[in-house]
Amino acid sequence: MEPTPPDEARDPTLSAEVIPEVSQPPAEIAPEGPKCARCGAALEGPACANCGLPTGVLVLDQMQKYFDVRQRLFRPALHVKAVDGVSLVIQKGETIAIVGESGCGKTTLGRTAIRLLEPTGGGLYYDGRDITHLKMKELLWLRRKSQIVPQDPYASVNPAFTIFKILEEPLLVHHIGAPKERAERVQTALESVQLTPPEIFAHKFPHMLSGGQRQRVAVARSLMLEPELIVADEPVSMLDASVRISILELLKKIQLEYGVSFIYITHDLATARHFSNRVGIMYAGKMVEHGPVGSVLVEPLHPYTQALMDAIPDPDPNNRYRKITSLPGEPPSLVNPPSGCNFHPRCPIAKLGLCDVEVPLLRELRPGHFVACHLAE
Amino acid sequence: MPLLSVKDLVLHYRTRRGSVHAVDGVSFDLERGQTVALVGESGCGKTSTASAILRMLPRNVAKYEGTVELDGKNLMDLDDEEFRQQVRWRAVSIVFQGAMNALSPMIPVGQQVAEPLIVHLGAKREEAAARAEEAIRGVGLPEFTMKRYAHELSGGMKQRVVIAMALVMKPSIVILDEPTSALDVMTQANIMNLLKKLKEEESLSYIFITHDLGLSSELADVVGIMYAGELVEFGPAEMVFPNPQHPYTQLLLHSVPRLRSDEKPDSIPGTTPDLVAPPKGCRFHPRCPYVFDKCKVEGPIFFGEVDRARCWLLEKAG
Repeated sequence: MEPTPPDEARDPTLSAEVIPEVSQPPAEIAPEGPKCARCGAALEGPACANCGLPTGVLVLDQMQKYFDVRQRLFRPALHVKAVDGVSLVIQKGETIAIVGESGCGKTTLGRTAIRLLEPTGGGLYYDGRDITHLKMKELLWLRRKSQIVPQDPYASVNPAFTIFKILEEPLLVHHIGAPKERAERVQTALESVQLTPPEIFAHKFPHMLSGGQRQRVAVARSLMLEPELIVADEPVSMLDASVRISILELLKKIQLEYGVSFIYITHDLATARHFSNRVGIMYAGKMVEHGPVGSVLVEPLHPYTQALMDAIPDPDPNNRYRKITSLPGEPPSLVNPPSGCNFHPRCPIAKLGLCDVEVPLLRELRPGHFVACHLAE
Repeated sequence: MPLLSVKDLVLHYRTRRGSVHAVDGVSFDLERGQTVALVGESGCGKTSTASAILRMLPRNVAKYEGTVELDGKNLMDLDDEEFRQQVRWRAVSIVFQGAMNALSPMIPVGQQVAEPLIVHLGAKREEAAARAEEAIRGVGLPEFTMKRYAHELSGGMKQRVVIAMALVMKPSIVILDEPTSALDVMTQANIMNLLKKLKEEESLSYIFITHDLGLSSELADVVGIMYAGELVEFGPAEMVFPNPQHPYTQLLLHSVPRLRSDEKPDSIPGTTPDLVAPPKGCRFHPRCPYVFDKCKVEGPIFFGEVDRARCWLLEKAG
């Protein structure tokens, strides 16, 4: 399994035609004219006229993911409401950042969105197909179209495999290409993540690489099947500051080149501002605010987003004279979330009689900018 | 006279590949009530500098020299036992990176906070407990936290306990080694507020070690930028942040994504050097955009009066 020399790899006649298109979505689910994935009505424009379901590469419709915890035998299980009714639309070629503290459900959201987990309730639609409750066997085509870049590059690559084998594996699993062609695709992927010269990197083992290089391998692996959607789950939080930017620049480049949509899961609002188009802020399993980066992070309307932004300093010598807005207490239990608005026990502007009673719905207060707060204007 | 004065501090580790130049001639002063932030990428020697100041060394030390003066007294003249009795925890204490995970799961946290008093001062159990309680209250925790075990506390509460431990002996200097790196942003904000308040109330001096330039600006009066075992720039926060002198500081500041500006961050080309065989001349020269012949041959000295930087460009500029 020697990787082929670079001049052969660039020969365009060798690729495209040999790849057998395996595991396509069943024909009856993909109709000729666009139809709404939920109600079957003919589609025109950005949303279904009949039931209101928007269209996009990935549509989450009030999606829920609960985990059961059984504390005692013969007692009914309790639910951890990790994701509780999140609606979101991801369009082709855009990056949406999901930001929140640990335990807010952002990773569960990412994993459920590409059906690594099955939603407990609500709907999940991929490119006009309902994938909410499809069985694992029926999801093989989705496994090719969606990929994940995990957080920890030290844990996510097999230490016993060479980089070549790590990158070839997804192709083997999906029965793609002859050995020679697979070698070419590995080489192209290594080049596109700037691990050059690829011949040398292909034969290294993960322990020979630095953290940043390993993360590049993880990115290259996610590209092997030419996916349409990549969930990047904290792809840079384990890396050094200067390497961080280069990995994010790489993801941006890949997006522009291949038109991939990204769900960028992070706790870092500053990188979200520079590397995504839209941003969604999660708190205790719910989306509290989402919209274009230029709107949400310039004029945050939800008190939680405001506090979160205030907690992140830009380098400025005057910072040491300020007191950072702090929220009392800790994020709530997801088993027994507070009544009304999840955030009201910590909210600096909460109104008793309103915020602790009524659950706030997302309202569009600026163009494309939604906020779930009774008091935001 | 500065409270703490570090001169030509050197700490090399012995490894199979040769000696690692983790700290190579670091000098700086810390004034009373001041915070010095040491900032740099991982592996630049900032934590090793802290270990060298507190003389908490691993076994494979190859070279350890220089002077560390506390109130004009050279600590390097003390033997290990004297150092332990007179300096460590009593004059200089430290909050380690991820120290909250080092709390014992078997002992109530209150006893752990009281322990240094019993060990170092020979205090009675009751007296130690009373002072520990005071320290626990001082970091904004309720008294009943004393009787809790580590697993019963959240990450932010554990970090407060660890800060209480560092303060219980009333030292004048506290070294903060990435004190919030394992915490969430909101918890980090609370801890930073606490550190600011304690600094004011107890007139503490901090050495704040972090890789996060933004966070360093929350505490720093003076900023020291470290690269490959050396201090490359050292100056007041008012000068370093808006107008950095060293090319590395400039690039590092430019690589920070800003939350409040549309200016795109840029990555720094190249990688940090191998500290077994650091580059000749200026250690930053292989990555420096302004490199010229002299940089490759001769290690630069500090230039500048108040904001000092180690770069030959500044000699050229005059």
